[in-house]
Amino acid sequence: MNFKSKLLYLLADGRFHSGEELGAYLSISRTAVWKRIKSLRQSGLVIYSVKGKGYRITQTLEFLEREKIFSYIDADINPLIRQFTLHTKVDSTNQYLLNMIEHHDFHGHVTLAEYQTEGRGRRGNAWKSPFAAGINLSLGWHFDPAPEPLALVSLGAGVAVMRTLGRFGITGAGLKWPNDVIWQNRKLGGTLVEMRAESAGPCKMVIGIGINYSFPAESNYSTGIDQPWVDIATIQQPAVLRNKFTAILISEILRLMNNYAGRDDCGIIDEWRRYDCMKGKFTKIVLPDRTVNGLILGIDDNGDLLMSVNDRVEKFNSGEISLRL
Amino acid sequence: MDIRKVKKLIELLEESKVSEIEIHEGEESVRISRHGGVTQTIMQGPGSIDHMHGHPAITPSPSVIQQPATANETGHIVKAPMVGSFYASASPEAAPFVEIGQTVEVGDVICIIEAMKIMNQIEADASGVISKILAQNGDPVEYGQPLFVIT
Repeated sequence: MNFKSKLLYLLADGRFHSGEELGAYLSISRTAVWKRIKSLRQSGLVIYSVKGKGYRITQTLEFLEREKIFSYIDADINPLIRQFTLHTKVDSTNQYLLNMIEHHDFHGHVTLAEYQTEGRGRRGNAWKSPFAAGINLSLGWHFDPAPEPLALVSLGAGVAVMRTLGRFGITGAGLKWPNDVIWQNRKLGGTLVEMRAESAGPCKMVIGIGINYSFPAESNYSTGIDQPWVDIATIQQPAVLRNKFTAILISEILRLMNNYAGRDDCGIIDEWRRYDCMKGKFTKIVLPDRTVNGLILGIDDNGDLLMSVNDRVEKFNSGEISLRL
Repeated sequence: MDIRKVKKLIELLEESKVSEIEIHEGEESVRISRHGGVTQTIMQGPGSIDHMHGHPAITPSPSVIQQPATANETGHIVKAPMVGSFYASASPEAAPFVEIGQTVEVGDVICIIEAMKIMNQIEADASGVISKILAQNGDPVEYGQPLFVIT
């Protein structure tokens, strides 16, 4: 563990710790403590400093721990996890798995990170989540044969998140096509699937899921998040344990991918339709080259989005639906 | 219609001496014809669906049919393995994966095709020099559409 991680564990209780105390524990100077605090702030952590009292983070942090996570993972799912990597900091959990896509450890590899320096969403959009405040999960999965249609993996990832929320009694969330998790017009989580494959034959996919778990109120300022967000801690009080939530999310995504295995749609499309929170709304879809306004009708049996545009039904397989016009 | 079924049909046609086949399946139909070595695919969906965006299989974009490059092209043609949106770079601000004149090796990522937030990193399946880029950033592409020529 490096100095910065040690420092974090000392601060995790949410109480004041003086620079002197922290420096003594880490055997570094007070100036060195201050420098590391500064760098932690750059990862989105909100740390108060009060003269005469020291440093304090604004909320208690629950770090992810391998043993705790495994103690909560469903017994039938445990054997599906072939590899498990927990990073304090990584560029992107998806990239970490993409880099080892040809490696024999790829299939069934679960990766988590407390902080991503280059977390990403669709089309290179940044996915921002302060240190230890979100759940950054990626799964490497080898489909043989390739799922058909491919879209089911994308919709299925959203369904797995909804099943997870359901297990904790978290209600009121829904899916925005294809897999954004929305709660009262605010984003709770999202999914990005990346793959390298031909259209036929086996294919390897990296399924990345980001969930806002417990964000400091100052997150917009500290990380530069530029859209309305909500976190689990706001919806559910007292908040569910972060390790437990992570474990159930891992269980549900693995269960879905394993059951699915490219056979039939396993009811994914119908289940997705039950979570559709945009159906019947008049909004717009942003395409690479233009924007189309219309009424969201739902999805067809291939998972494509159906929209009524000037009284005609149009079908989309790409694009970003706006939450409002 | 299942895109793989269409792919199979195209392969069947290419292997045979038949110049055109048309298949009806419920409300959907597909006609595949061969003229001067170029294979065309025209799919018709159920009547209620008039237009399709980012998914031009139903109404193929003219650029596909009039793609003269594919007929007499020398070199290796990299084709789209799936229907979706073509992206030349990892993000709108990033430099393109490849440019004309650039040397690529088998396995290098040369573009991304996206459908439903699944980003498919397309690799070069031949080594050589990129001599043509046949799709523009953001273009909807269909299955089998030529994307690059590697010579």
